[in-house]
Amino acid sequence: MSINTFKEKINMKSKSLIALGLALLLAGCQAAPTASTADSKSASDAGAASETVKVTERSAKDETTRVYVSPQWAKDAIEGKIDGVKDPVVIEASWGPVADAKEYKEGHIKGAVHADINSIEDEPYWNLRPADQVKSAILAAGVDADTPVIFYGSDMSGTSRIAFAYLWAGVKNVKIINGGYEAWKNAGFETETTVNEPKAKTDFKATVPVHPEYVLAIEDAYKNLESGDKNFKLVSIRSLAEFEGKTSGYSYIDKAGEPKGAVWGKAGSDPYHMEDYVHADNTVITLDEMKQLWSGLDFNIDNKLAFYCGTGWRATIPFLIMYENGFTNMQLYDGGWFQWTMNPDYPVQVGDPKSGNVQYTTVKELPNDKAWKEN
Amino acid sequence: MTRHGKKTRVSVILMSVLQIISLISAYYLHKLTRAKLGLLRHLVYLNGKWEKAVNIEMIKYSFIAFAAAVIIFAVLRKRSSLAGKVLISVSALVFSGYLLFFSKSMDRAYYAISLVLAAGFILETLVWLITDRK
Repeated sequence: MSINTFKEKINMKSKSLIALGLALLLAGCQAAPTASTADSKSASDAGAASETVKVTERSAKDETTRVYVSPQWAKDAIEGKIDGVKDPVVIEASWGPVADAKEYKEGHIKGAVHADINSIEDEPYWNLRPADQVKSAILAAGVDADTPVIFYGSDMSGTSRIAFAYLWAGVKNVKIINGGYEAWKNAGFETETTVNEPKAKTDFKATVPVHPEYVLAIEDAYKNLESGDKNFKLVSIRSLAEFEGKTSGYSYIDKAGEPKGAVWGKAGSDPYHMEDYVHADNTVITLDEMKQLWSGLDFNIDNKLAFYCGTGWRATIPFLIMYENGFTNMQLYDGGWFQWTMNPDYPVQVGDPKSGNVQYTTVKELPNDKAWKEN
Repeated sequence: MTRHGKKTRVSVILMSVLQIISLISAYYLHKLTRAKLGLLRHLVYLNGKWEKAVNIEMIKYSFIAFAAAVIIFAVLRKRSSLAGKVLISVSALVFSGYLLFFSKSMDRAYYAISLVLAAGFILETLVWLITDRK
């Protein structure tokens, strides 16, 4: 039952009391977002060609938790023009070591180093690596908890994934350039092809992970679903075909379906695209656009949300959109559908529960012929 | 050039071509798994399937034993040319060396590359046996 429906059933006096109580509760629990959404250039952008970059404008006090920034903001930060952002490390994030980082070697933001997304996740589940390994990877990139970091990459899911890992570990100020390298180039900003070596650090200055609460383990996802807590929503950030169990979406996952009780949060046309959350110019949707995207779905932004996808890339985007707007009622269920399929007795649904055309079973009963095959 | 000399030349060329093809294939497989996320994850998945299906260690040491047997046979075989013997021995050493000194933890494409090298080595051995005769 939504908050609005609940309020309609209460008389005016009770409504006032409840509103006052909620206001006090929210003030204690989270910082209310103060940003307004605008299809505009960033405030400091005087002449850069960033007309098409959509950003969420925020007040100065929210700058640290802001994630998706314009190329102009990034340039200003690199040049020391942003208060509180000193000597940021600019990182091009893509998969593979620098020797194989084709996009990085073809051209990157001047001074940027490369980071391998694989440095923060590993088999067998492609979940985040153990804390000490993530810490080592972050230190090797020249970053500690106090270092401002500016990520960019052609794959917004992968870039958001590594940014999420850094935030989970405890890096306080993590940014992602909205629009990526193309937006930077289109703005006419400086690029280079020289491979830069990171200046590794030795002291992270915090115990990793500083924010274990950002990640929901599979056991807890299972318990929350089984508990029947109506406020908990395990939100599938996967394509409709994956959600309906028509395909696993991956060549290395044989079974298709979703954890029983999961709700659909939209994503894109297939596991490698996020058209619902990322515009064609590689900029991420705003909070208002996300709320609109979610209208009519089986959850809302005030629920206790845990986002997941196949292995934890796509799901980081809605997490970070909520994060940068001050929400704290969300987590990433890191294991995704992949880890769920490793548990034979775990309950699953195949089909869309909303349509009524759904089958409930367990992982071990699922057929093994749903791996994605290239046409 | 004598008839034997021509046969040796053909044999050496064929063996060298096979060797080069399998080495290039192995190299590109190694590079692709480092550059392509999907391919690496698929290989990890295949690694798991292969480990469940067969005794990898037994197969590995069987191939190493086979390579050692080929080297010994090459030394003893009087009917082969020196060039042929050297080529097949080098192939056997490279192949068994890769099996012994590399591993899945060093290179996730280890099983796949080992298969490619094994196929190349077996074909090369057959070509050597059939064509390199005095």
